[in-house]
Amino acid sequence: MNFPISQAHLAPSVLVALGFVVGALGGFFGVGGSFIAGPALFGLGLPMNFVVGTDLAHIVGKSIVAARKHHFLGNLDRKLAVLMVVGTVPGVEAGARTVEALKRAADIDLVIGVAFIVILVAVSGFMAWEGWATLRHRPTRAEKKNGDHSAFSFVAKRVQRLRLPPYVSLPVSGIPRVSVWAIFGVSLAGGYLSGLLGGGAGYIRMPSMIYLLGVPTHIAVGTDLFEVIISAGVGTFTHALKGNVDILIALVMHAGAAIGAQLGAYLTQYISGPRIRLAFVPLPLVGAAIVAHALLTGQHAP
Amino acid sequence: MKRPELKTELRVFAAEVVVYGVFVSGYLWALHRYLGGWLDHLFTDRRLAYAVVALVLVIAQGILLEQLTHVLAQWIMPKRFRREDRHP
Repeated sequence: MNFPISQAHLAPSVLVALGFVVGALGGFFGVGGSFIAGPALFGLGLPMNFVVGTDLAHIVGKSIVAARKHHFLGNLDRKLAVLMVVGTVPGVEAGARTVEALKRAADIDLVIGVAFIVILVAVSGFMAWEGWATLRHRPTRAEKKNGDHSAFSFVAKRVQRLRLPPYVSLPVSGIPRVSVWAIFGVSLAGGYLSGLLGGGAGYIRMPSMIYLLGVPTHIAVGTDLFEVIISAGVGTFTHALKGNVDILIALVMHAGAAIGAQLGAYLTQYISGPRIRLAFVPLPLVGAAIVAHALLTGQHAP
Repeated sequence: MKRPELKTELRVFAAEVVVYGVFVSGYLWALHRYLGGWLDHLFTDRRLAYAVVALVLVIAQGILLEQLTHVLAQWIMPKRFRREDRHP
């Protein structure tokens, strides 16, 4: 099928299948999946500027489906999600401005590519260690009842004790009191990486919500999807203005992602928090490997 | 793990995919046939309008397809599994 906006000739069935895979990953882990969809679209022959913008557009639609599904399942902390928007939006803008500055000052592909690899490998390594330690740790009665525990929970407890007013309580996440500044910091960092590296940055925001704020894994997945909608929505609009979005390709991909996201969200009901976190470990490594390959072979990383 | 429930839900999901595939194929054909030219014109001549329409379209499709998959799941799923408020 010929897509007139980008002048690309792509098979809709391949786009739907790609959307399905990325949608299932997003529904299960609460991530946008841009680190897989971006390189795949590039490999199918879409020009690089359309890869970045179109991927963001499809992420918006897919995350709406998954976030609503998680909302029905009780996995969305609306209060936390709204508070995080305050940090996410300026973070995206700051990240985009850093990209503009890097364009003028350095080899942007190398700098962003290396930063991407370091962050993804660090996230994956940390989650592997934490997931393994948690599964080996014998949970207390309270943790057993809760169904979600972490070997790293002492850090979240320290963050929750931070004396930096104003404070807010998050009953849905089971957090009696936490500084608004801690929430703002996590969302600002997630938004910044979204603007700098592209995609929704769920790979950093979702673990940060669990380990730094102490949000239960299932709620972190659902709430992170809401943030992905915001950051990817802002990104879609600005990229569309710059002529980087082929909305027809995004809509076709989203048709596959909608059903994949539903499957991913359903599966979270059957797997405990520590196991979801452990299953997440290979994902950032796949993204890091794709970026490393693109850098080594001279292709531009999305 | 609640394996019998998981098995039923996966079976329901497979049936849902088939019905969904038929609906979506028709929808995508219509989208390309009737909106393709108009969107291309907006992209070339009215970029701001294109950006707004692109965002509205993807959000509207997100809500529409979520509703469609929800209705399909309710229609296909056996009555005893029709619970949307489950939490691990």
